[in-house]
Amino acid sequence: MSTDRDVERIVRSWMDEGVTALPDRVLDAVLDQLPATPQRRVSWLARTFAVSNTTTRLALAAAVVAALVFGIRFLSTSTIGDNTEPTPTPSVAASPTVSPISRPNASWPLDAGTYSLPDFPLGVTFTVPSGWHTCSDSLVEQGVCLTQTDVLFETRLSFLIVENVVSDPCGLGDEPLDPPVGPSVDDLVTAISNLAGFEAGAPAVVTIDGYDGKQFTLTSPQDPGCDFKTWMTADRTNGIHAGEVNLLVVLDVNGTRLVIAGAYYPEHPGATAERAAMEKIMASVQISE
Amino acid sequence: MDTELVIRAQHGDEGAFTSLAVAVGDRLHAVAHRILRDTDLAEDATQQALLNVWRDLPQLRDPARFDAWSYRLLVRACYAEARRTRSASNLRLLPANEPMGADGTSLVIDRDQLERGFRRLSIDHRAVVVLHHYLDLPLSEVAETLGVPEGTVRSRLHYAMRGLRAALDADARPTRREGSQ
Repeated sequence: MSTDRDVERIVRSWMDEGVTALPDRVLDAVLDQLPATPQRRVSWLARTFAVSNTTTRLALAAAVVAALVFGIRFLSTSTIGDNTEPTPTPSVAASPTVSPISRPNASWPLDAGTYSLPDFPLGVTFTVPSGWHTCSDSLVEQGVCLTQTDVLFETRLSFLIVENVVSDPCGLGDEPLDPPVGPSVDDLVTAISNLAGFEAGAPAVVTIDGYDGKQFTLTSPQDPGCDFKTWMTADRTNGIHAGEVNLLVVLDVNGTRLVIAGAYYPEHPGATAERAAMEKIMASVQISE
Repeated sequence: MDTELVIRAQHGDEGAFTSLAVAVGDRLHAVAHRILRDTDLAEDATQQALLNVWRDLPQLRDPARFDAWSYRLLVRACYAEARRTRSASNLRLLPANEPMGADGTSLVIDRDQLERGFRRLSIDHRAVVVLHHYLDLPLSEVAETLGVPEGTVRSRLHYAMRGLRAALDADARPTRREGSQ
C-alpha cells in the first residue's frame, strides 16, 4: 500500500518527464493569425489611450457617430429574411450569419441580431443579444457561447444532429450504444435520460416554431471521476464537465431530429440569467427544412 | 512576467505579444501536454490559448496577474480540445525514458499505471493535479486560476490522488499475491 507521500512523490516525478518545448511551427501559426484576430476592446482600457489633440478628438467623435448611425441602421434592418443577403457596407461585425465552420475552433464575436447556421442540415435561425460569440464543433454541431472571461466553462447553446449515445458515459473509449438509438424524439430522450450517472428531469412537451418535441434537463454529477461522455454526432462524442447542466430540446422536424442543447453551470454567479438568456434564444428559433 | 510587455500587448503591439508568446509558450505547452496526455491536442490547445490571450488581453485588468490569467485561458482551451476530440484511439503516450527510483526500482511500471490512472480522471481533476503538482501552485492559486472555490480544488485533488494511488496499488497487488503463494 502506497502512502500519500509516496504517491505525491511518484506523481511529481512522473510529471517532470516529457515534453516542454513548444514547436516553432505552432508559435508561427499563432503569430500568422494575429492580423486576422481582432482584440476585444473594453471601455476601461479605451480610456487609457491618450487623445492628444483636438483634431484627433474630432476624428474619433465623427467615427463614433458614424458607427452609431450605421449600427442602429443595421440593427433595425437585421431580420431573419436578411440573413443571406450580402452586407451593403463592409463591417467586421455586421454579417448576420454565423461564421463558416471551416475553422471549427475559432470564435467570432456577434452583434445583437438574427443569425442562421451555415450548411447545417436544417435551416435554423435565431436571435441573440450582444455579448455572444460563435462556438461550433462541426457542420452538424453549431452554436453560440456567452462571452465570459471570468469563468472557466462557457455557457453554450448548440444545435446538433445527434445520431447515438455512448454505452458507458464513464468508459475509457467512445463505445456507442448497441443497438443504436431509434429514430424518434422519444427514443433519444429515453436514451439520454438513461445515461448512467446523470440526473435527468422529467421530459415535457414543447413546441418550437410549430415543431413538436420534448424538453428536459440533464445534470452531470459534481464528481464524475472520469471524462463523462454523452451523445454522439457524426463527427464526435460530446463530453460534459462536472456540475454541467444541459437544457435539452429534441424536436422532430418532419423526420429530422434536431437537438438544441443549452449548457450552463449553476455554480456561476449569473447562472439564472444565463439560462434565461438561452431560453430566450431558444424561443426565437425558426426552422425550415 | 514583464508587465510592460503585457501592457504594450494589451494595446495591440504585436511585437510585444510575440515576446510574450515566446516567453510563456513552452510553459503553457508543457501544462497542456500534461493535462491532455496527447501531443497533437496539446499543440492545438496551446495555439488556441495563445490566440485567446491576444484576443482577450485588453480585458485583463491587472497585468501583474498575467501568468494566472494565461493558465486559465490555457485550461479552458484544454477543456475545449478534450471536448472536441475524445477518441481514445488518437491518444499517444508520452515517451518513456525508464528513469530509476531512488531505491533502485524502475519507475516504468509506476508510469504505466499512472498513465492509465490519470487518463481515467476527468479533465477537471487532471487540471488540479497538474497545476498543483507540476506548477507547484498553492491550492488558493489553483482555485483562482480555475475560478472555483478552494474547497472544490481540495476535493478534486483528494479525489484525483486517491484515484492515482488506487492505480499504483492495483499494480502492487498481483506482486504481493505472487509472493504469498
